[in-house]
Amino acid sequence: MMWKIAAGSVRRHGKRSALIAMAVAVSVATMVFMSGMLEGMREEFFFTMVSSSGHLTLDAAASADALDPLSLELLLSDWDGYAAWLGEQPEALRVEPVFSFGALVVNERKNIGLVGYGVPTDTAFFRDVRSGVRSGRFLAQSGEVMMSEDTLELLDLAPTDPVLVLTEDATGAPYYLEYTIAGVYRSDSAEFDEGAFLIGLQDAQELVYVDRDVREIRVILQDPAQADTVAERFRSTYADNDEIRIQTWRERNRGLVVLIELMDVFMYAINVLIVIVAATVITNAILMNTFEKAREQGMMRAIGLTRRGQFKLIMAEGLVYGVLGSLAGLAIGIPLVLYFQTHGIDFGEVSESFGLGRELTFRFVPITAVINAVFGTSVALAGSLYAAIVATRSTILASLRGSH
Amino acid sequence: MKAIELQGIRKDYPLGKTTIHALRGLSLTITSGEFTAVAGPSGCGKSTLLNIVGRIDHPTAGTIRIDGRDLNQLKDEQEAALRLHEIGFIFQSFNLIPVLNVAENVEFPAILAKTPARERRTYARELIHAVGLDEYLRHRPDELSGGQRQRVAIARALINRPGLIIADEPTANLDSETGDRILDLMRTLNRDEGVTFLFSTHNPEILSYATRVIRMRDGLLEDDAA
Repeated sequence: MMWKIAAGSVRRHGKRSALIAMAVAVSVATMVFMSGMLEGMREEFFFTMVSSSGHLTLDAAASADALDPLSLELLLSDWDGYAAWLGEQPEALRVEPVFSFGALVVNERKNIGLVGYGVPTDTAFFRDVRSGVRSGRFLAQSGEVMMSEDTLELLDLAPTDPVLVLTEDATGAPYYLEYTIAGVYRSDSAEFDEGAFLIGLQDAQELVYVDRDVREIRVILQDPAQADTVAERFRSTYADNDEIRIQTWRERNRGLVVLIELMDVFMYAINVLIVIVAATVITNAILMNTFEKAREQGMMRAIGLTRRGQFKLIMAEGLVYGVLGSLAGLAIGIPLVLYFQTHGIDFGEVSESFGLGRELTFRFVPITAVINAVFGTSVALAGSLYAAIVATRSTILASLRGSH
Repeated sequence: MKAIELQGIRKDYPLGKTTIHALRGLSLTITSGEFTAVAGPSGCGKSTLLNIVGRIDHPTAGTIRIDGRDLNQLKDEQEAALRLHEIGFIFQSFNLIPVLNVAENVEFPAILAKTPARERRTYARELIHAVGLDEYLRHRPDELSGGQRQRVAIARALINRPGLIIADEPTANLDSETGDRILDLMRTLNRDEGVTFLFSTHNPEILSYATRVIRMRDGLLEDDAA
């Protein structure tokens, strides 16, 4: 009966009920939207970080202070032992060598300075290059390179064209070889597209004349949280080797990690603001409802309803508003998040400068939506709480006279 | 319920810097089965008296006892239980719950009293039949006339089988014909069920229904004419 009275009261005060439910709905929808955006950004950050460094990166210790990160002095030569050790760790999913070097890509009279990344043809990194192939295919055999649309345009090249790659080899002499453009890509980063190209690992080593040397070894773990443990294990195993260093994704991307944490704080602050605004609207509207029904509640108290019963009745009404509003909020917020999860929002260079790629895609996390809905319902209940306290403190006579 | 005893009841209301003395030391005894009217001009304290007897208001001074029990000693929850089980209320402006239908309105106090569903439904139907509203079981209050609403209120007041029913100007908002019918109904219930009625009115024509008339003036009893 209490629920029927609560639901009936919601129906009876249609416009005000709609206002309260809308306040809850808007706050829940906004929180779902913001959470979806935040989750998308977080995922993009992690994708960018893992894509560029893995969860662990092993390289030459001297790289820390190097002015030229592409110096051929900063290579790992006997790296098989480290790679084997890393591969044996139960947390490791993938261990992969990468060889980066500076090169001039030449087409007749045009040339452009780029960073070449020598990678295995089955690389687990550079996923957005693989997924962003616009024509041709990813590296499959020796003698091939992958170039971005931007580079091709700058050099007046077409897919499958031959291209010269000129570099200074390990002996200090200029050396070049001709490759075929196997595929043209557009990745999620304009900066990467304008400054890099991909080549097979062995082709790169041959071009630069470095035998089997690599720039770094990247490791993907089952869980990013395992990075510290594995890194510590590595450091204690190779404690006497000061020529190498191992870094976790957190250590390597301190700036981005701080940015994510700042963004978390920012989002929580926005959520708190939303809740404060919604709670104010809801509290006032429920308070008005309660005042309007003062006589009705006074009558119920007069015929035997206890203060506790009156309290429950008002809270039940708040719960109805909360549940209805939260469901409506989910009905609005979830489709929006799902839409932007599929389509993304193109923020161009703005989002790219924050390490978010060209397009910001959202991510729908069901448990976050549930938490937001529970939060919205709690806000409605909190709004009702004040009204319930005011109403139950009133005397029966005052209520019967129409005031609390 | 055997008797209600009021002794030296005073009720003062602060009004700005002055104090209104609504009741000025009123003493009174009402015995079981009476059909008592409280009469007097507006502002003489009729409603205040009824509110104090019904424990929806409290006296500034004086004692009120029901069957020897001092009501001033009751806690909030005990007072609610008293209003629920032992007293029925009929208000001047009907005061039904607008979102519930006739049957639900009548059953509401029985639900608060945790009466088993089957029992309360059966008795609610009986009462609704007694007040002649069988055809309106599923009607909401806004679909009923004033007289019909007051009959629902009477049925509701009786659902927990109280010993006392307090009615504050029960016919004030009704035309005379409907008012007479309501009073006939109250009188019948008083006679057949033995329920004690204490009702207020300022309409002299209604006093003929009462077995006892208490006249009030300026917060005191004027006389006690049987």
